[in-house]
Amino acid sequence: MNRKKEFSKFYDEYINKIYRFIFLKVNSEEIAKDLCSETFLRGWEAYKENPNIKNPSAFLYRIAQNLVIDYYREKDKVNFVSTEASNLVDPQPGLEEKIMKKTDLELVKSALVQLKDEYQNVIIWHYLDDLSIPETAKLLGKTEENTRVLLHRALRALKNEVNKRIIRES
Amino acid sequence: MTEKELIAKLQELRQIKAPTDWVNFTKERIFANETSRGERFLSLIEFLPHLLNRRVFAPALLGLLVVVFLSFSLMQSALPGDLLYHLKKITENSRAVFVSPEELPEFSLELANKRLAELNQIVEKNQTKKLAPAINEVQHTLAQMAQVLLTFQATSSDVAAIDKFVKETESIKNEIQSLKERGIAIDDNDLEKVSEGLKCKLLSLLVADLEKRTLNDEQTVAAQEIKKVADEGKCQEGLELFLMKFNQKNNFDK
Repeated sequence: MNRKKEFSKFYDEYINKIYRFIFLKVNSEEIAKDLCSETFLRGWEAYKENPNIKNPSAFLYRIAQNLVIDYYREKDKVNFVSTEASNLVDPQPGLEEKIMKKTDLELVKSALVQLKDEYQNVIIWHYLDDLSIPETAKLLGKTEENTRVLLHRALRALKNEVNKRIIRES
Repeated sequence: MTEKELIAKLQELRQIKAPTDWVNFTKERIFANETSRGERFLSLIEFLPHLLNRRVFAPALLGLLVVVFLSFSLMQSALPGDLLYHLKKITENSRAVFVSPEELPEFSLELANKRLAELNQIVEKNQTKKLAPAINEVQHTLAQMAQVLLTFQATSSDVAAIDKFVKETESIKNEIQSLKERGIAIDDNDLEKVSEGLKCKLLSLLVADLEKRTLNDEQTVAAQEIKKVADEGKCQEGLELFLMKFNQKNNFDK
């Protein structure tokens, strides 16, 4: 199988996962689309030139994560320079976001966004992307034991955040 | 909210998916940036003069020429769904550019016969994966052929040529019928129109020719009968009548 076919298969397998991973972090459909396509574009550029990439999923998640970090860094800079420009960075919510707002899932989603990056990642990979503890540990670059502890803490933090919001809203 | 409920809610977030249209569009965009095979081939051609100047590359160049020759041979026998089939189509299309309007009907019939031969080959070998592209190719070529044959302007000197087209169209119809009997669904509605149109064209030329000839009484009556049938649009019947009365050998060559 040539590199293009291989990457095309990875694309089909991971596009929704990477999109969701980014969307849950940036909370905007348009920005998620931009960053997700950039992730796969950079992924493909690197993959075709470098036969040593043995774990493309980890590689794609890493690119996505860096792009999200860059996005927030850039956004902070834009906010500092001009408050008008921030509207360009955060466009009107898309259809998907509107649906989310109508359900109580929004509560969980908005609480998840508030967690620190490491907690978000471990929750998304383990509970949404169905990665096992060893696979999640590999992506995080931690031991399995540390990953279990991190997952436990992340879930507890999320539960506290959700309950805090329930109390505030009631 | 309990931990269990929270996990259940988290798993519901899996419903977040990228829009399908965007997914397909993005995939195409990513791979569209790739240099096409054609462009690579062109850059290789540009590099050839440099290779020729170095004797060490001579065997490599020879090998390359052998590969090109083999690829060309393989291309000729390529079937729909094969990698080289697109190249085969490109060479055919480039040939079509140089075909004159007078030769176009014959060329389109030739292509239709080629596509049918490819489909037959695929059916014989039971290559089910190639079946759909081959049927598409046949239908596409038949539609093009229909357009050419229905619109070309025939002159009185074209009687023999049109007779040939009628026979070839009939042969294509039989071929398709035999494929249909083997369970291959082909949309050949246009073909019936083509066949009927060609027969009418042929009959009108023959009637015009009869009007110019000096005929005896019996022949004049026959000619009037044929003209009447032709005016009624019964072209097949008119041709049969013509053959019966004027030409037993079914030979329109003059």
